[in-house]
Amino acid sequence: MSAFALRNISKSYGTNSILNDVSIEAEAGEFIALVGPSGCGKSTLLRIAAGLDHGDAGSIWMGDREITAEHPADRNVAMVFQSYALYPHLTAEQNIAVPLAMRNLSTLQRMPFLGRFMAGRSTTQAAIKQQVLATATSLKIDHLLDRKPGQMSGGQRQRVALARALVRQPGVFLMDEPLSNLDANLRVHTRAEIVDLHRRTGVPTIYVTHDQSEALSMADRVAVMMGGRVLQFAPPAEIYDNPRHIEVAKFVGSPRINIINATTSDDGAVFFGGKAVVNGVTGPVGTLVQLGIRPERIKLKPHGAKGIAATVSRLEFLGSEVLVTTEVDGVEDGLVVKAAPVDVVHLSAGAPVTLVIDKDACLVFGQDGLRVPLRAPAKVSVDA
Amino acid sequence: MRNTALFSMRNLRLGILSAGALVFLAPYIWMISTAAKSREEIFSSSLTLLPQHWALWENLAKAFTRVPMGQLLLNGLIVCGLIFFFQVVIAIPCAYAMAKLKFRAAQTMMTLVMLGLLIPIHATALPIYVALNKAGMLNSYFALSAPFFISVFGIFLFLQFFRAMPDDLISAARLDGMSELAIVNRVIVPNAWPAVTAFAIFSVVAHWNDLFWPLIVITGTERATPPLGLLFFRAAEAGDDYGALMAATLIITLPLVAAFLLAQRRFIEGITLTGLKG
Repeated sequence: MSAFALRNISKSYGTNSILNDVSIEAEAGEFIALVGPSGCGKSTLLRIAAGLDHGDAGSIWMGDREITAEHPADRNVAMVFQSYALYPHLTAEQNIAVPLAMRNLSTLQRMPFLGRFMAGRSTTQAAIKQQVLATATSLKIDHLLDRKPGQMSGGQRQRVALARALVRQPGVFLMDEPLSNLDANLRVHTRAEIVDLHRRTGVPTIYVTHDQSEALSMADRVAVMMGGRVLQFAPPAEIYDNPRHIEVAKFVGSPRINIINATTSDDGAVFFGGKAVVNGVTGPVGTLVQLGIRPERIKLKPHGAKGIAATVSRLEFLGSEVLVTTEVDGVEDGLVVKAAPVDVVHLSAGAPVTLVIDKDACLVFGQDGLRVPLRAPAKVSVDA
Repeated sequence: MRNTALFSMRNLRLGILSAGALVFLAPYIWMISTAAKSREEIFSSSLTLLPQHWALWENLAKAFTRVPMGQLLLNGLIVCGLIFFFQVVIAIPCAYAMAKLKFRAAQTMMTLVMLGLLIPIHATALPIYVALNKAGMLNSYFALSAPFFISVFGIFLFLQFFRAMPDDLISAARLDGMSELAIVNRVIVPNAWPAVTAFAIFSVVAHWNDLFWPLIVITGTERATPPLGLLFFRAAEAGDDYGALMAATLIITLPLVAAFLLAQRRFIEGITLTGLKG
């Protein structure tokens, strides 16, 4: 049984379907990333999980407790918003204390003036203050407690927002692109901090992002969403190496995967550049397929070597590696190759080269975008 | 280097603006001048701004003794306070609901608010007067203030302001366990001060200076607002003691002028409605 589960959630506005039978679950202590282009429904799904929005169908479970109809406050979920959504008129300390005050103090005790005379208020408030301080210290923001959000930097506000979510010890953490308002340096740093925080607290986390590298680097499992559907929900390595859909393959990985249009020949072989790059594609001969090849799975060889003839059209130096864009006959956009800098020192735009595609590097997708299964290579060799 | 040219663009602009300001201020300045003059001097043929004999204290004393000036000012304060209090208490939750909650009647309500903006008090004055008369509530603070408790202008103003507030803030408040009422009290109102200030200016200025409605529902001085009191004063004095009349006018305009000068910066902030930067 999973710690938090969204089951078969559907949602549409009028005839516009936003979510289509989406199921995601997080095991205890798991970090789940929801990734997809903007407008794919990931933020809506998160709002439904929080109870801020309601699906047309489906159910939400916290362990074995169904919370589909519960009020956001009763679900014991915590959310970190993209804009942080800190109360501008309260100090950091007051901001962090709000969820505790709302939960632990009665309405009368919270009254602006009368509250002071209500029994038990001061002990509860002392406890809240203690908890706020402990949370703030663990996030290293205890020196900011008496500042208002307007007097803090983006990174500091982000920590206060995290502290406000953390302080109530939620059953699940929901994060809606919490890093997208930070500058690039701080983002990478905070990424690691959030993962650390997650390891320490062990609270299952659902993290929404449009940045595939963020999703791959942080999450235990990644759900790739497109057009209101989950195309694949798997660990990062599985998503990268074994995408089930061409859109997943295209979305994940930077630089983008190379796509080549081709047709199958006898015995399910696909020829490219005069060489069979894949064998054992199932389906009839002459089927149109799309081959996906990651840029790091293509090798650059000197002109004249055995392989695919190509011409360098652009070199992009990225420090530890160089992206080489090449023009190849029969491929409209050309092929991008990721190469080590030492291999390209002698190259410049216009130079002829030879490309060699790694064995087993090709991912084969049908016209419907789904992966086409291959017959097991062992069987092929037996037949031959 | 300092720009010392006498006919620079800046000085030219300043000159035009000053001339414009003088045109608008002239009646008020003349009022102060008249308030300080004796009766003989007002009716003398020579036109002077500064009085030859200062009679300001005599005129002020007359204004205070011939009409219950203290009572008038207190009435004005009570009526403006009552109106403003109820307007805010009603308009803020209403505007919040229309700006941030989704409900079926939202569109209809918006239309009604727009319609309400188009209908002046003069159109509804008669039915309201008849109703108050039948209820026996003329000549009361209630009659003076109740027709203005629901301010569509206030709803409209707050609506525009609340729409600009981030939705995430309200979502966060809901997740933190606040009820809708708590959201209004703890999140919306504390962050809506610029809008409340702006609305306070419009509301208090309009109702402090209003003569039309008090004239309809009030017949005696004991519930009269300052402008109405002024009217009684003029009638009682048969209209030739302009010095005292201007002194009385000075007194009733003074609270607003003083309030403006004291809180000038906040007022302008409020009118320009500087948004929230959170």
